[in-house]
Amino acid sequence: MRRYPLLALLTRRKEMEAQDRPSDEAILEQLQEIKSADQAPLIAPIRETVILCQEFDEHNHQRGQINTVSETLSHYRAVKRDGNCFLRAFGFQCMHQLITVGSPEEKAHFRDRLAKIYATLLTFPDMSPMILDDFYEPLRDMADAIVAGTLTADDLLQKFNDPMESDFLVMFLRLVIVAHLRTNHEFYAPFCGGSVEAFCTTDVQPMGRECDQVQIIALASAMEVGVEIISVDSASGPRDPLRNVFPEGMPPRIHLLFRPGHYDVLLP
Amino acid sequence: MPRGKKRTQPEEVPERKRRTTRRTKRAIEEDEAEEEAPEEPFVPPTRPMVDHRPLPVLSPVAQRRLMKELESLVKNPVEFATIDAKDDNLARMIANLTGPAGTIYAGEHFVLQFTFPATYPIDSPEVVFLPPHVPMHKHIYSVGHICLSSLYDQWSPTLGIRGVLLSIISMLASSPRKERPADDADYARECTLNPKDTSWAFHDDRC
Repeated sequence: MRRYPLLALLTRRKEMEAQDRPSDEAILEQLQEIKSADQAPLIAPIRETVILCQEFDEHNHQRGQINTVSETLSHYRAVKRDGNCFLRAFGFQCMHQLITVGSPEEKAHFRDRLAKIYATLLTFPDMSPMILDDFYEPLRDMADAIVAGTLTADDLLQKFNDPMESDFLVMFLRLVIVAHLRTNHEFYAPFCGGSVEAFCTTDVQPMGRECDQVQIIALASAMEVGVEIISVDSASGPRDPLRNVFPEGMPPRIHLLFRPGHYDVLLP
Repeated sequence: MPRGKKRTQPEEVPERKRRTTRRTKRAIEEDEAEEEAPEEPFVPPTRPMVDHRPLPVLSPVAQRRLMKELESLVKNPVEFATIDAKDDNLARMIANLTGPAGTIYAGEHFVLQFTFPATYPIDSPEVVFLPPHVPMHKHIYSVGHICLSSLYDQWSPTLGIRGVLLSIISMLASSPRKERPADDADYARECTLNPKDTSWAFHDDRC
């Protein structure tokens, strides 16, 4: 829970007390956990992927799966666990990849996609420049700077770690998903519980709402950027994590590590 | 039947009276009498709540966005609503609502208060009706708090003041009868000034 972590903890604590009161140590530990999660950067510096093995005990399949991942993607960046992690990871890594190794065509394509999606959003009766521009303009300016070669990887990291700027970028990516789902509502409706509109209201537009497969496919398709999701999951085999590329058949430019409820960025 | 909310965090837990050896027997007896009192004292549903909280300091982004929203509301007003904003502090605005024509609230006058957080529009504004100008509605408590998902966990930065006003007016327009939520008196005792402290449970798609 993003807004009131302490309140959430207190509520949870109340619930737990009703059944079985946890020890004071457990409560302190939880508080510490929440505190450190609060202080974690939105996008962390690069670390070695093998470090993640420590999160799982020796007999856990996930440990072996992480090892396999680290053979090809040896580094990762932790992304803050606030329900926006997929979008923040995608947005950051997409632009970081363009800045560091992107071709001029890829950079121009990114800028043009954003402009096209903005134009699509403006055709919806509930959207207006008044609502959209605060979210679109910062991203458009960054895309222009990427094309012009004036945005450095350090600038990007800094922008993504500024809470306000970062959240505005995330918000525009949410709107990219809305635009794509609405434009292709006939295709997506069955995956959205019948109504794309209701799905957007409850599961896309609110900040902090986690992204599931539908949102991932929509964002990757709208931006025409391949993303590989590598899921480490105790249900999979002892060595091989589950790998999915969205949209199907597109060569992935971004690799994300998925552990239930959370995404981090993976790097070669 | 949809029935709003539950469970709030009290602003301050009154410190439980502790007995010390120094206290007289009589004081202890009085305490006991108090504790053994079979019924809680009656608290009127509209207990006066005086808001001493300082207003948030808006970020430049929030200020710019609110200015733009106000302009748009002047140019293209929401029917049955007018906004009163003071130039010196955009963090608080008052909206005067008139019961929409053709509804059970037609012609009635309601006062809505918006308080915008520093992080607006990423975070939602605090929106309450100011007693006594509170509509009699199944999802509106007499203290003025509104059980409406788009004000809490379904808030989206794209909604803005207009989105909130439209949701509330449509909530009034679709109400079949004038009544308070079933737990109105309990809620009035438990709630804090800020409805965002309440963990609202929504029983249908909006309330």
